[in-house]
Amino acid sequence: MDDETKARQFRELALPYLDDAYNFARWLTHNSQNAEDVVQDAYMRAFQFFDGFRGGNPRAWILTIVRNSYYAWLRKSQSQAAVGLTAASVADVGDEEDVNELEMSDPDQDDVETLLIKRTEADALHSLIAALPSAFRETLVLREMEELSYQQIAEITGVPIGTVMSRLARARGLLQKAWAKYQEKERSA
Amino acid sequence: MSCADMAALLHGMLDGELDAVNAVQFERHIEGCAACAAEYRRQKELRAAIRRPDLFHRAPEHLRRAIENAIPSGVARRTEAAPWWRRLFSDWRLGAGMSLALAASLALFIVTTGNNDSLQEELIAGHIRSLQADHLTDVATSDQHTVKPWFNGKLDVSPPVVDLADGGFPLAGGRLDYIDGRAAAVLVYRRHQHVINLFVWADEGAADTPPRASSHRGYNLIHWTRGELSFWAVSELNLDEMREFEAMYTKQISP
Repeated sequence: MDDETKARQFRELALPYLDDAYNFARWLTHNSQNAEDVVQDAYMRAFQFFDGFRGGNPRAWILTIVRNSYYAWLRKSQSQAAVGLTAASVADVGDEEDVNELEMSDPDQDDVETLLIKRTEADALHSLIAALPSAFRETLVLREMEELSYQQIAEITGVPIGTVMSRLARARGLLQKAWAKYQEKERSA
Repeated sequence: MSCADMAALLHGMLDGELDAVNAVQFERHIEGCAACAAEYRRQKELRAAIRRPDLFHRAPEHLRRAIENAIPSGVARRTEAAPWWRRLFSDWRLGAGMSLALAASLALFIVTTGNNDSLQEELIAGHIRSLQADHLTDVATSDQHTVKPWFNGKLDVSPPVVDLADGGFPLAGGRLDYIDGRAAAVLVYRRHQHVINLFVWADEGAADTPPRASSHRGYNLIHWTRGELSFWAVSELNLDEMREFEAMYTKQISP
């Protein structure tokens, strides 16, 4: 395949998923500038390895590469000086290594209450999802926003389907609890 | 079934991942159980809230343009960044030696154009067969010193056996298979929940060839020839990790 054909085929296949790629990266990184860097890197890699893509679900393929780029970015920002390293990325690294070791950040806590003051419903829900431990957040975003199957999420995140299911249940449980609290507050206000 | 059992089914139901039997069971249960019905309703409401469009972040227009502009040349340049390939290889958690090996195998990476279709079909069929219950290995052990002698006397070839557990590809065992009308040794490696079948057979007089990757029916294959042995790695694993596997295996068996 010549370069022009390859570029054309890549455009047709990969560009329709740019919003998905960005949304996923944005939820992983918590930040739009970092999400842009991650997505740019991911699309470069995807183009580079496009020869190896035959069939399969292109959305899942792109999101897998976005996730790899995210962890590469995370390691890089970690290896650089501690200056500018966000608390969120530190938490994410620990989380990736062993989610069970991590003290679960339960959104049903005081700091979340302050987060929720004077916010619209969408803003409130946004901060509650963002506050989920990253393994839960990632699974939830892949399921609810990217609408992938358990099998696809298992492949992208490199864990068994049973783990996908338990992470999803935990994520929804934590979120539901915090969301109910928010709604209750809104009603009484 | 108890409400605790239902909790396990609830998310599967919500996600359309239950089979018919379990779905019916779940629906029957919530008809008669107010608590589970309420929980199911709450989760449905939460889902509707999460799926609202303003929680989905669309890519900004300038990012779309930047990526579109970068595609024809194949290399998106970022002003302050190192060349893409250097960043790529510096990010692999690999030592310098492995990065070089990986770079070399990538540089030589060519997609085959289908001359080997029927052979590839056979290899994939062998791989799929191996995934069915109890067909994976004839000798199941992670001990390379057990696997290697096991092949002796069964084949005209003794494949190089190395455990790559340190690199994240533990050896699961070995078995015999028949490919292209001849007996082949198969080394079985694991990567997380995936299986890599490495088929090896003697190819007398064959010159060494660099690794070539190809994909067929959703499976990835890498083929190379070395020391008059023909190697085919087959897996549903992604090609990046397949290449990593090939580079690691080749490095380990090199004198």
